[in-house]
Amino acid sequence: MNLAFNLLFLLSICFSFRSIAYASECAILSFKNNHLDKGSYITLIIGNNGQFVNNRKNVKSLISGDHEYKLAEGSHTLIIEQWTTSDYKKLTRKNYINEKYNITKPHQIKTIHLNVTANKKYQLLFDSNKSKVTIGEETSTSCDSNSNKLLKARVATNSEVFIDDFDLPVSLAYRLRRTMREISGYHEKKQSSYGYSNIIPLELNDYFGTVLDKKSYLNKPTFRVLSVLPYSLASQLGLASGDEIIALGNISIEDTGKHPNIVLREYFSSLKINSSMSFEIVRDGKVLILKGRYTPIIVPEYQYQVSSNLIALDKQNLLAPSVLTNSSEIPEDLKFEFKQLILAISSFFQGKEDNVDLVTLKSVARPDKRFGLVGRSFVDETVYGFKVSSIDLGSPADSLGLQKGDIVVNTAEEIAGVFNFLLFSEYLESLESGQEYSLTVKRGKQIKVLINEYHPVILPSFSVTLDLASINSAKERLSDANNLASPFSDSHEIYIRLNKRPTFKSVPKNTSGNTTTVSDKSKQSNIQN
Amino acid sequence: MHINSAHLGKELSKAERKHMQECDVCAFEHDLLAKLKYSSEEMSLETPPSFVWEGIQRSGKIPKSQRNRLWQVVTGLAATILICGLLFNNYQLQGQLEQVLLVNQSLELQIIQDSAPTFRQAKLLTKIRKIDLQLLEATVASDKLVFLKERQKLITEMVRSQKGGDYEFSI
Repeated sequence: MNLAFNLLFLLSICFSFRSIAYASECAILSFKNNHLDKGSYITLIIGNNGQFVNNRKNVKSLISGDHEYKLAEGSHTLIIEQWTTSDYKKLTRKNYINEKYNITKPHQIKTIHLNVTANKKYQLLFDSNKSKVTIGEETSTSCDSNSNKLLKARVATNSEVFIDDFDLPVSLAYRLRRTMREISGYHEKKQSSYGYSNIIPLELNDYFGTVLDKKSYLNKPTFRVLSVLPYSLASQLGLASGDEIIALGNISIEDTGKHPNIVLREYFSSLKINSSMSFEIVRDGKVLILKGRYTPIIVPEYQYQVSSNLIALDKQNLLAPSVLTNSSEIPEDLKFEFKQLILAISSFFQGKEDNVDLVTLKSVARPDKRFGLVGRSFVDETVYGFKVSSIDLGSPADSLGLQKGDIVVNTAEEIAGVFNFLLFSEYLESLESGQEYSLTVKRGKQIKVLINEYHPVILPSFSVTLDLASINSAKERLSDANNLASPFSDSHEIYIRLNKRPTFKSVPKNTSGNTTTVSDKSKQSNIQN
Repeated sequence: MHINSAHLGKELSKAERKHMQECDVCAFEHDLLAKLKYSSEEMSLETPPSFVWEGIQRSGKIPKSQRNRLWQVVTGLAATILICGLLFNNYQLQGQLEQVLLVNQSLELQIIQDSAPTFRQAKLLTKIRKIDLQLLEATVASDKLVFLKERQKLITEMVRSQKGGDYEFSI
């Protein structure tokens, strides 16, 4: 499998020149031999704008200490590894490339994004707690661009839009705004700076979306589907809870003692990219065959900047950082939500006629007009109102003290005794920040008047850039590896293998993979009786 | 009237001795018993063979063995009841699991996945995924059932959120 991805890289180096162009002027990026945590470290660039950077001819200068790279003027997404000097020496003793790479790991790996100006010299500094990369120095220098070692800048068509002025579906735009608020909230907990930024590297969506356990059907072992996550790949294939899988790819299920989810992974690992896959299942006593195509879903590289939720609306300006780093590991749940959102947005843009490589979605800060209530009209012998079925945490409805099951029967502005939903929603929309307001609710047998000052949720200003070109280039690389094993292990490893080091000789022993993906629904899910 | 037979073969009183001289029956019996007593005292003490003792010991354990057997029967019965109870419980759990799975299946098949989920639906998805990850780790049927029931509520909410419910509004 490692060989697959290493070859993938090699192929990508040979063939993927489409979004890269030579630049006439260059800048210098230098690293010093860092001494952190009482240890000596070596820092090197191993990827530039999705291409492998060969350091083999540079090994001596890397080990000796100071070294530098020449970068064409413009935008660069760099993958940087930091090694302890001793580990790196070990690696080079094995002719630099071997299966030991799987054992000897870098001290840290960073993805950074920076724009460089010609004839400037930059120095990247890592802090000791593995979280930040900063530019330590920026001086004028002369740079000879007539060199084979020049790292090329990204030349991309960038579509930069304010989402208010764009035809992004309203629900998607709102979801993006709310997610960015949560991202901002996360950064607030972690840091105390003015604005927050991050870059999330390209990865494969490796969550198939099903949980299995063991069962039997007609005295033969089967895998029972315990859950199928809506919108997941398993769901798109047509699997559902309670299905019993009797065969994977025409091979009957056997009781090997392994967990069914591991067997499923192994099945995906055995598939070629774009080959067909099939699940023979029993549903309601009938045998069905679910067929799909094994095509990975790729989450593009994306980066964001977001303002703090704590800053007043009129002061929210985004300050572009000089260097963007994947310094913050977003919590798992939030990362999942963000990833799903990015997939939905990229799918929307990919469906449009004008192809762009980069899309930047911007938004200014604004109050969220949503009150935070879900409910329905309610009528009985005694009351006519709006029954609350759920309340958003932290919303004005929550602050007011509304509870699930409450029946809103009146607002202060309404004509006594008559509840009108239209008036109710208009009343809520008309509220100004700081305004005192009240709602009359029936809670159980009691009538309560809830009074509060209206303070809407503030949606922060943000900018999110999606590198749509990275999807196509990754697809090309994956299709080049068509006759090789599945790329799946954990996402981080996938990323490493997609973006980093090619192997030129050895075949790694461990070729087991992880869960997989299937291609889009329209192309495949084909249920046969 | 003869001498009390219990006295025969032993030291006799004066009156008994006088009677003995006149009664042949008593004299014969007394003489016989006296000889028997003498000969028994003359006999050596023989140790019985070990198998005899083992036989005696075995014969002495019979009642204990019966007690053990009774205990075994009681224990066995209790274990059988327990196993039956567990099997029944497991059967019931499996039945409940099947039912929950059927309901979940029906709910999952109602979810429309043509357009991207809304913010609220995305939040529900995250919660469902979290339960799925817990379900993956669960090894006991009862735990699985708990997670599946929790999951059912969220899927129901998801379906309702998509269908909009009867006059349901999100403000």
